[in-house]
Amino acid sequence: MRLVLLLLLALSTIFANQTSELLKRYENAEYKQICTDYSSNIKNYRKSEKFVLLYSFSCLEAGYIDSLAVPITMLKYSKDARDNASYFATILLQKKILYNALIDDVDISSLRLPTTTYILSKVFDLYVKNKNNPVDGVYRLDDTQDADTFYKLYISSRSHIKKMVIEVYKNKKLENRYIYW
Amino acid sequence: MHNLEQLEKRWFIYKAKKYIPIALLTVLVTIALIVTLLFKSDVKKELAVKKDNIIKKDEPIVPVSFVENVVIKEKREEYAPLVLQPSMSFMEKIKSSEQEKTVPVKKVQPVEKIKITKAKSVTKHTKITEYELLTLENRFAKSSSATLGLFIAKYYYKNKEYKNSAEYALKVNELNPNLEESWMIFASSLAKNGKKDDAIQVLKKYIDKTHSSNATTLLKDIIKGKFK
Repeated sequence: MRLVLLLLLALSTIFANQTSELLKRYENAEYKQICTDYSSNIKNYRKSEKFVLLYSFSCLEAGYIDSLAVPITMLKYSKDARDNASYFATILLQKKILYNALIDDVDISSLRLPTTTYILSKVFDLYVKNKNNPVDGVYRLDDTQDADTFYKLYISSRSHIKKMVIEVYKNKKLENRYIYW
Repeated sequence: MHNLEQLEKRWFIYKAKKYIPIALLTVLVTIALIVTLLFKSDVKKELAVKKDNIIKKDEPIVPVSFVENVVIKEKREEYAPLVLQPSMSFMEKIKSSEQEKTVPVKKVQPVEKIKITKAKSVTKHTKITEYELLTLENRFAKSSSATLGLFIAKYYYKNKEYKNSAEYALKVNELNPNLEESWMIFASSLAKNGKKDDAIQVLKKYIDKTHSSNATTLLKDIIKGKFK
């Protein structure tokens, strides 16, 4: 019994140390590195939800949305975890639907989903409400909250796999480009 | 002589009495037949209706998204989607647990070492010189970049210059109203400046728009007087 308790204590301290180390890396904006480092073995950290949450937010910041699929299933024990799991699930779902709609021309105009403040959700909402046809395969989506901002949404077929590209323009200048597939 | 007329009457009555039960029986049987026939037709109708329902259930289920329904489209226009916010309070929990761990270590460590750690933390905040700050402010005035403005607001907030931090956070909010951090800095700066009512109003408006969990916790802290 004592051995079990000691083992549990040791495990909890190891997890706590790893979490605080990961937090430091997260604050140093090492998002891509964190996401790739733990993508293969994140299941081993299922006992530490804080660790899984830090990993998930790193993947989200790095734009590796598919990597959220595994943590979504692991986040369920605390309110924070459940809130964030539904937040990640919404973004992942919107990404998949938007990709499907753009490539296979599926009508999603009648869809009603929750939204988030993440760029992909914003573009998803604008695309669902959009009534204009694409020009040369490019959708121009005007931001409803910011008149100076608009987004370009299109499918790039340069590589062997089709990629969904979101470009953010502010005052007609390209500010950011996000690529998902 | 026999009274023939009376005899005939009696014979007629006798015959009638003989046939009355048979007649009654036939009438009852016919009534029963009619009732059963009517009942059967009702049952058939009911069965037909049920069959229709079963057939409808067996039909392939068409997803709502692919049904061209005007009512759905009208409802969609009225629909205000639920805005999900990331819950970042777990980070504070990690930090607080870290602090708890470091407290006993500080007690054991000699005084000199503590001084060194403090000096390190100070250098983090005073990395920017006054000249650099001025140039940053000038750059912000020219470019009106929200991220730069947020950086300046954060800097002022960390250095307890709450009037300046509120001013820059407000500018950032005007440039980009979706940056939660700048709203939080703006409200916190107002509260630190003693303008608690203004901070509460700002947070309430922001929460109405975004349903932010971080903003609600800050609002609760300000109302309860926990935020100092």
